[in-house]
Amino acid sequence: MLGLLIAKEIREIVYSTKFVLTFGAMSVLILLSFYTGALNYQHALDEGEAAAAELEQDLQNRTSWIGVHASTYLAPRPLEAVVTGLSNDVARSKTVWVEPLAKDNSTRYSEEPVWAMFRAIDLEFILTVVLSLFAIVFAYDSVSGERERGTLSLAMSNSVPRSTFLFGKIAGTFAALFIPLLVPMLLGALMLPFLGVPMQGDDWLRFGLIIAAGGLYLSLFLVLATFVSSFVKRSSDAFLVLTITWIVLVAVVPRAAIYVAGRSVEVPSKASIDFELQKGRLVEFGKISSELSTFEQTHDFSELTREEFESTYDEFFGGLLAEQNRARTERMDRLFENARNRERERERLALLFARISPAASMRIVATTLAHTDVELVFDYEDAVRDYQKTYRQFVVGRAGNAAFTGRNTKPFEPGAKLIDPHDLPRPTFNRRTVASDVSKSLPDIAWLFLINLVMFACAFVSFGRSDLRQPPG
Amino acid sequence: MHSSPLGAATSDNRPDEMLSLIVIRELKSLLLRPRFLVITLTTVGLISATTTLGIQEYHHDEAAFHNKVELNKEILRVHGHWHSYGWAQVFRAPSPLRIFVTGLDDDIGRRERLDRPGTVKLTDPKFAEEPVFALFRPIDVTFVVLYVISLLAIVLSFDAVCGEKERGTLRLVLSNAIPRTTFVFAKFVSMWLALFFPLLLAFLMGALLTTLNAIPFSTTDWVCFSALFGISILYVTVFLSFGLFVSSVVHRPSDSFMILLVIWVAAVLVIPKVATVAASKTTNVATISEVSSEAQTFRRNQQNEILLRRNATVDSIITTSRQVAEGRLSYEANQSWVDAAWKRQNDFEAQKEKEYAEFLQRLNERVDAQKARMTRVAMTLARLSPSASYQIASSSLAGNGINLKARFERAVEDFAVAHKTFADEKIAPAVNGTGQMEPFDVNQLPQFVQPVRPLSEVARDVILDAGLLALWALFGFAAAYVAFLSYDVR
Repeated sequence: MLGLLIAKEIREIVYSTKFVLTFGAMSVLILLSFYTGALNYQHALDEGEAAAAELEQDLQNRTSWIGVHASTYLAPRPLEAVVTGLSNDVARSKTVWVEPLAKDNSTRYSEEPVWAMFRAIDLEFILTVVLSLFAIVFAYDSVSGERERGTLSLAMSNSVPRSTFLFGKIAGTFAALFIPLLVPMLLGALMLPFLGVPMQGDDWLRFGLIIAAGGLYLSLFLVLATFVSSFVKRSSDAFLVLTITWIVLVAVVPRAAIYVAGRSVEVPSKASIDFELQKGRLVEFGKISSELSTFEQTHDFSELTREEFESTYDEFFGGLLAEQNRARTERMDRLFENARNRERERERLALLFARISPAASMRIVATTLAHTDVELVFDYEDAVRDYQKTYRQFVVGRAGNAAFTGRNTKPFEPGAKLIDPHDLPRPTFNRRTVASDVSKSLPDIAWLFLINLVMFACAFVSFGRSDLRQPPG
Repeated sequence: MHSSPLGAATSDNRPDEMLSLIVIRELKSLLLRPRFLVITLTTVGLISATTTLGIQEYHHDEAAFHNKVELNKEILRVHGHWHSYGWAQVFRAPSPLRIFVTGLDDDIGRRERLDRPGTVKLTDPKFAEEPVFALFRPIDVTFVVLYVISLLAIVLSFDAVCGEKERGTLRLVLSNAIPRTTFVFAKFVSMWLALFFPLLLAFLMGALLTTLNAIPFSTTDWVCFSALFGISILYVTVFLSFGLFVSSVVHRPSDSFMILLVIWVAAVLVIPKVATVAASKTTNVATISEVSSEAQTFRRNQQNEILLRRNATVDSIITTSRQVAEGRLSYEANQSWVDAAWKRQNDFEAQKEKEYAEFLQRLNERVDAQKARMTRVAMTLARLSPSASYQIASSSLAGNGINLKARFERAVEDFAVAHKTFADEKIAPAVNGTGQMEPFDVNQLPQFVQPVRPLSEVARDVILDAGLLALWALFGFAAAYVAFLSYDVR
């Protein structure tokens, strides 16, 4: 019986103009999203290669330690083509100096505002926003429509248990909507390697999970629509209620929640951290100046050669700077750690409230699995700070205190390199493992599943008590 | 005289009386239903909510802006001398209109350093510093009108004609010898009024909220706000007229709705975004790698030149040193010759540096021009969709549209020059040795004034898109009119 009901539902839907139009439009959208995603990926890759080449050339032409710097670039990951998330809001290119300095952040959107004007649709947007809307369009009259047409009482007169009927409707609609869409989704994903986005085994697993979450999310809206359809008498009213619910759930709640909850947590601004660091630096500079004058006044350099004087001076000065650097790094670590903790607190609170809406859960799952979530920005910044320390160690190891004074203690030989770019330590940015991302997403997936159950229970109760007869007139 | 649903109305009545009668009928059927209340509450509720959120964010941004300016001043004070003028920074202040239209406000940088006159680059956008807010971008009035109200317009209009046909009332109404033109016009006017008043109420609520919160709106800002209301109405009218049109072509409301939904998806989601991609593919914009490698090639050639010349210089110095060792040349003469040779070498290298800087500048200008062209093409293509026109116009009105970055950077460029000139004058006595520098006073440094757009410039930016929206609405209505005239009402 259930199988029959499902088959009937599928047939009804698939043979309708509604479906043909929807499927056509969605397929075009989906394929387009993969294409634009691939373009985004290519752009980031290109930028990374240029940054590396620039650094290499810069290092090759250095003749003094002043101004020597390294750089890091956050390489794109394949799934960014599927879930844009925050990938265009993260400052990928960072300059790294011997002294820890806060430098300017530029993102894709800040550099090329035309891309921010009409933000590209990615698959996640299609799943979260478009698919849920179409779910409502297909299911808003699942019960009320049949009731109005008179076919509901007819169907139920076949001694079908109400729960079976309900489940058959929902399952049928789900199958009719979701399974055909798997085709363009898989097609698009298979296209990616040909568009220059290499997908590895891990990526396929993540992709599969995102799609599965999308399925859960779609079914949630189908059940919701069926529920509303079962207690609202007229289909058109059901539709209005559902449209408004959709607007509130998908568009309003996540944003409002994030802004209200997010702003309730105070986070020290980058400007205030900058200020603390700069002020500290100035105070240190004053101290160093006075220590240098003391050094000059208390030492007798008359017996030393020029080279001996320079090396003694550099050693002392360099020592002062190294100590200053150490103290500054300590201070910076403290400041940034405090800020980071507050930021994480803000993120936790904001996303917790946002999850009232399943749309937020869906986006959180997708961005976590694709590693384009808020954590990406935090993790990358932390990694850059760690690299800065590694880099400094490397340079000081090579140049000694000349790294701070900028003075070359060796005469310049044409053709000699200050730093061989190939010797430079490479920044490491460890991407999260699949296992950790999956476990991070599990609460949200469970939440989506729970809402599904609750909605189904509501629909079941409501349908169980509803009047099946065709309304008069 | 047979009784008709319109009471005493007969074909003997004057057309405009009939029109108002039908409009009243329509309005009654629209406004007295719960669905109108729902629409009004949704519209007013959403816009009030977004305005409240916008006000909160504006207060936060204002406080952050003032804090940054103060901290920067403090740093300059602590530095304590005119030489450190390069530490001065310029910050972009939040604009009150941002409460209603976020635009690109949070995507564009807010900070500019003044230690590199000649290269201006706004950095540190809000979303880079506070990424949690980028996950779901802010909701503003534009968002509500763009996505929600347009959907509501479709919901109101999709069954305007074909719904009546399905219910059988269309035949009934027209059998009263109501001219078709009157009918379609009445339908349109009543639907329009049913959306106009909620939207008006919502915007008035928004204005009230901002006034109650003492947000500093200038006269220009209020004019822009009113204009925002105007183009919002226009935009909604476009979808109303499209809805009426499709409703007057198909015969089943469900078909009408599906078609309109697809049009909505195409207009709001697809066309603008595809336009940007199409523009990037069809215009020639040098990739970052290409620019980088061009710069590097130029630099490498320069380095080779420098190296060759340097080797030659070193060789000749070795030669003359040997001459000194052999006693054929005096040490002093050689020394002065060596000094001169190194000076020539340094001048040569400095010249090369200058040429490189000029090359880079020309290169960047070329790329900027390409990017500007691509942006123009993208905007033009996007305007195929009325949604894009609305987005462009509303963000232009709020001053945070596509031109924000360029406009602000231009203002900073000018200021940076003035700032440097001022500081150089203060430093001059020490450099020229003509006397003492004045003691440093941070309050004497020129203060950056946020660029203000005159209304004429705003009008110029908006007129095209407002015009396009009006054309779309007219076109939609004309199409509906024509379609309905030949609509089969049986």
